Amino acid sequence: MTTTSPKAPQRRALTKLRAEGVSAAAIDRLLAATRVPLVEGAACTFLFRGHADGVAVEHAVSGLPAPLQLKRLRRSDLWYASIELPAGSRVEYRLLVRHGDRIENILDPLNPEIATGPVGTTSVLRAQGYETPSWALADPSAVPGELTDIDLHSRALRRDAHLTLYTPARMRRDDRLPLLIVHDGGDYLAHASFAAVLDNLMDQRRMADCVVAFTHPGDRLKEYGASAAHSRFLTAELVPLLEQRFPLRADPAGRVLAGASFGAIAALTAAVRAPGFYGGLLLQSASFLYTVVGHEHPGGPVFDPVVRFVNAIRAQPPAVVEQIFLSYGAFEPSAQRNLAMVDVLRRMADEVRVVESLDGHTWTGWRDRLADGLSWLFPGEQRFLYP
Amino acid sequence: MSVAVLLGPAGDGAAVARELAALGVSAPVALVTAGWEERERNDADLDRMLGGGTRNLGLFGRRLDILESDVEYAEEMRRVRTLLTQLREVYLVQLRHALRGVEAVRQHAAGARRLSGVQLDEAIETVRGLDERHATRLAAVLGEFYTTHPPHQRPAIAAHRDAVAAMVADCAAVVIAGGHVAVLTDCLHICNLGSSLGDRPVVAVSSGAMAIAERVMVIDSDPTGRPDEVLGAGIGVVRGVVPLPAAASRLRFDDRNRLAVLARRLAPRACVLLDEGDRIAFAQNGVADLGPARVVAPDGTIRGAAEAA
Repeated sequence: MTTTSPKAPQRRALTKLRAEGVSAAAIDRLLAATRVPLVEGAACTFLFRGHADGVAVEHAVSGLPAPLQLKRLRRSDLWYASIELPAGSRVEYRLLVRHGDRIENILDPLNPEIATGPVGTTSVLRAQGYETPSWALADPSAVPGELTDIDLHSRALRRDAHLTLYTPARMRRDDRLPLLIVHDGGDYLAHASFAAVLDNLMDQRRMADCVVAFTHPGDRLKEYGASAAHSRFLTAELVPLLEQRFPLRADPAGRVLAGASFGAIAALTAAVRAPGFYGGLLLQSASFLYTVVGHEHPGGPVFDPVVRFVNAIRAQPPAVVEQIFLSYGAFEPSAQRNLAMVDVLRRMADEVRVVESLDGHTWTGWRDRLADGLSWLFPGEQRFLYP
Repeated sequence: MSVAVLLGPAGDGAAVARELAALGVSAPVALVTAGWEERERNDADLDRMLGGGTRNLGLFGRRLDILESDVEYAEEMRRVRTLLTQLREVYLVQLRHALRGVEAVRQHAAGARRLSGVQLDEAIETVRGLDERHATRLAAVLGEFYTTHPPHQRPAIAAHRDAVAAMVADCAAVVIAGGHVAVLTDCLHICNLGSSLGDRPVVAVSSGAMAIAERVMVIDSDPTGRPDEVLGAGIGVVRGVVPLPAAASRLRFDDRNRLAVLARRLAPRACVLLDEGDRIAFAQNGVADLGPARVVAPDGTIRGAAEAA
């Protein structure tokens, strides 16, 4: 991914605009005729129209200037900046519009496409070739699973724990189902369409029918930051309770933990603290922070236990599960650290599968890799279906 | 023994209708659409294509009813299924490594520019051994289960078996459609269809053909990397062949190495491709007319049966 000179877009839509003569009407026509940001081959051009003293793109794409400054097209109120992205890329961003000393942080007013997340809403740039996977969209023909809220008191966490439990549309009387426990369950459901993904993948038999427990954190950074108490909650309280109440396989191969970012650390921690108890891990953009020399790190105190944990498994990787699926966004700052951990993870599991997405540290990016992970960890019966 | 005709995927059922006409079947036909699972009763189109008046044996629904009404049996079946799933998982791990071994021997021999001969045979024999042991283990687990829980002594199962036998007795032929091969096979076993057939002709389509053979082999280009696997035993109405329906979409016919291993894993059974329009007929004495069939030969080529033998 590279930034290009402002001349790059001039060969395309902006070139035509110049050739026709830059005028308000011509800009109106350009904006009416195309989606914004402009996507012309690999070149993607952010646009902003309006009076300002400066405009920039706020993003979290490593390798790009941050923020990415837009330039004003001469004799107009149209601002632009171009980057080149590989096919299939997706970038979340917001615009920073400066008036004097005041900077306004806004969604791109020319781009209706947005993504939601726990910390706010962003605009979305879809590069050429990126399409929302069909299995991520609610399909009325797929019979939905049922979502039920459950509360239990956790002695380990010293609080009431809230769960959202997904039970699949097909629950056969002679089957025992595997169990998936998902960290940050509320965010996965709200921002990564996890329930629709499960409905579709199970309906298409791309993944096995399974029960999914979406957990909701209390003090997230503390509980998910390599916490022994959280691991105890999962292994000694939650799993036994669910295996008692539901027809679950109740064997290691039938227990999988999932999480993104800090949630991935929580999943890995629980597996390390109970070797052989879980069969698989689905880790997305794990917050792998570690030190090679000394103990100083840029994460602040909240990362201290994470750094100690990651340093420990890097020094002596324990064999803990059968399968680990890891995905990360190529554009996120922690991509290299995720990649660097693959060799460690290979020593912690019989099989490791790694998938890189052309996205950042985003819920949509994690959603887009769910089919890869879920169909590998819970292989479905599609191969048994014949016409 | 029944006259049996195995067909590839048959689309709207016109090919099935032609087979029934050729067999001179005019009386009611029994239908098995259990492989369609919850859509089992969506059989109106097929019924119309077969001239109407077909009688759906409702095996999927019967299986559900058995599991609902015999709670102890269902609970025990859950335990057995979990065990079978665990056996399958280990088998797939072993299989993946053994097949890598076959490929490694082949590549080593190719790199050294010499024939792989005996070593390759040994590597394939390892895979064959896994298949055989897996099939034997599955049979043993199920055998033990049926010994401790004799199906004919379970009132719910016995009632459904009797009902199926009575319906089949009123029919002149049985048509078994495709769908989910594992579910279909299970339904055929639990309702003991094999023993109700008598000498009635059977027309089995797609995975229906798999389910009435002695061994069920599942193949595809699985994106998650699962190898071609032995799923278990069919009801054994036809023997000596392993039908591979929808082969054109599940196999690359130019992948001779994979096909050669497949043929040798299944030998001495003939590995028969069943795409739309393909047909194999078994006479009443159990002998198959493989003349027009496409068979995977031990060298991985696809030939007529006579050539492949």
